[in-house]
Amino acid sequence: MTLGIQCKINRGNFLLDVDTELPDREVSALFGASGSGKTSILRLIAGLDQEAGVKVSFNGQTWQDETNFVPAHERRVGYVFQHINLFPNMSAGGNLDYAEKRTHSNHGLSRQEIVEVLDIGPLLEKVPTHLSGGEQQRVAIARSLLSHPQLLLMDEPLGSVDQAAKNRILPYLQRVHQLLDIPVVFVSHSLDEVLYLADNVLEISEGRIVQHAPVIEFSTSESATAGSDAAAIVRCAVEALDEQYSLTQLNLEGQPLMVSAPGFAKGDQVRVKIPARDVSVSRERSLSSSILNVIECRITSMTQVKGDPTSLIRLTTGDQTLLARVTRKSVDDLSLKEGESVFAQIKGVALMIDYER
Amino acid sequence: MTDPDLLSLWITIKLAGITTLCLILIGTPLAWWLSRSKSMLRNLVEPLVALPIVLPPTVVGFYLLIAFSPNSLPGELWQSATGSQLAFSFAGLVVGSIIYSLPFYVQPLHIAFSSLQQELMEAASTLGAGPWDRFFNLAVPLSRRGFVIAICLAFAHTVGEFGIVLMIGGNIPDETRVLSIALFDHVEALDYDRAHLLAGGLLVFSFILLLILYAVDRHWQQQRRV
Repeated sequence: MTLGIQCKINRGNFLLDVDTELPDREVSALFGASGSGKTSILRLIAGLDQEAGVKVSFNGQTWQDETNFVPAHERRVGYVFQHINLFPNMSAGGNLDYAEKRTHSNHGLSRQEIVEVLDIGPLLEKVPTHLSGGEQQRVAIARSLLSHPQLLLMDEPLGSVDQAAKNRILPYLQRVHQLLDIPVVFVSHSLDEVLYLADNVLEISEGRIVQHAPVIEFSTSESATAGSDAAAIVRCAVEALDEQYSLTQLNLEGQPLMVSAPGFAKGDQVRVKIPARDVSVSRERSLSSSILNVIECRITSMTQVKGDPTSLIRLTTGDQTLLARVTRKSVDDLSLKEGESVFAQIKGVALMIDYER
Repeated sequence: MTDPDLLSLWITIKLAGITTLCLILIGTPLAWWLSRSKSMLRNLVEPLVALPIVLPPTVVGFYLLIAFSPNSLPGELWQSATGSQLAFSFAGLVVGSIIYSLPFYVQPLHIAFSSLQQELMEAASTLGAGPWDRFFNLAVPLSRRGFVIAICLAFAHTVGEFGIVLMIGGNIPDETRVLSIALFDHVEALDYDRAHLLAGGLLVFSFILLLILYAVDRHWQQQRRV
């Protein structure tokens, strides 16, 4: 346990009441609606706000308690802000120089590696205003990494870029996390980002932590499955590479799962995100179908919301949970019941896949 | 131009130069404090700094004259420290000019500092920059436009000062007679030729100063966009 934060702050009609510890070398997401206090927590960790009633400690050092306050510039914390804030009077490269000049250590990634991982080499000569939002954010991330932080904090790192740029940056962030040896805490209100990047999730609501769980558990929890973007995260091992069809065969609790995921090797432990809307349920294993992936599992629960034509079904295989969103009509037509054994058909093979950390 | 006018020119430049230097040293931290502080004192200091803009110079001059007199505390302290009196001296003019030109230096800088994006300063601190580092290596370069405007206004305003000089400096030829006073003297003496020379000179000086100011500003705006 490396990062501890305790705070009880009363701001008029808003109470921020948090007491938690975040594990080492993991990516933690602060997830919640805007105004829930996520950013406030992140700023307290960074030392950007100094308020009474806050205790922050990191790796045994006290950053803040009743009598001590280590200012932000002495905490060696990388911070990526929601609104991109490259120094406008310097080129992108100048921004990196600014960070490099002030760094105290040089372990971690070298400048060259950082520039390569984030693919910003061609941008370094340009001034920030000539870069797109996504490019600026990549430079900002590189700048924060160049100060060789012992903790990386990101406030909605993809909040101010469009969806296309988001899809391009997410893999970069993932690679950064794989290469870094430090804990990362990021704030997001997007379930998609949280499921993509986080190892564990702290759900924040009205200034309190209402859930703290590993992402696999979180993905099938009630608060993550309410919307149309619900998706289950499952843990698999790479079993075989099918070069003829460019597919990768995974082992999900003893059952095969074929995905299109180049770059993985046999034996790799991976995480796969399976969106609920891509999963349908049938009573028989259909023998003549274009659907490749059919997983036998058991219905554990069915959730229906009044007025919603669909029903969310939780399915288990071994000790892992899948989600399926099907119409209520289908549930009635098939007369599905909890505890029954069914076949989950997974449409598509372009499932999101990442190394298990 | 005759010798006394040249001497007035030298006194004026010396006065404006020294005043501007003192304002950089006093006004910069003051403007920074005004833009950052949340203390109640700020609500008092801000109008106090702006006061010389609305007050007639003769009012400021009158109170300064009283303060400078050897019978009052500031004047007495100065006399015991330096052996000479503050009123009707060059040093007295400098003090008066600093007070009178203070808002013209502090206000543009206050605006520049206030419009600094707070997140930029915070980003710098998370990159390991301490408060002095952030000020000199980020806030100052980002506020350079405010600095140039503040310095030009303070300098030009000191050059053009008349009322206060007359009240506290009098009209001592090689000590306190600045250009604006010399101009007044020439007009009084109906010497319009020399008055024209001084007035025209000040006009051209002011115009050129503004010309440079706008050119520098345009250049920087373009640079930001490139």
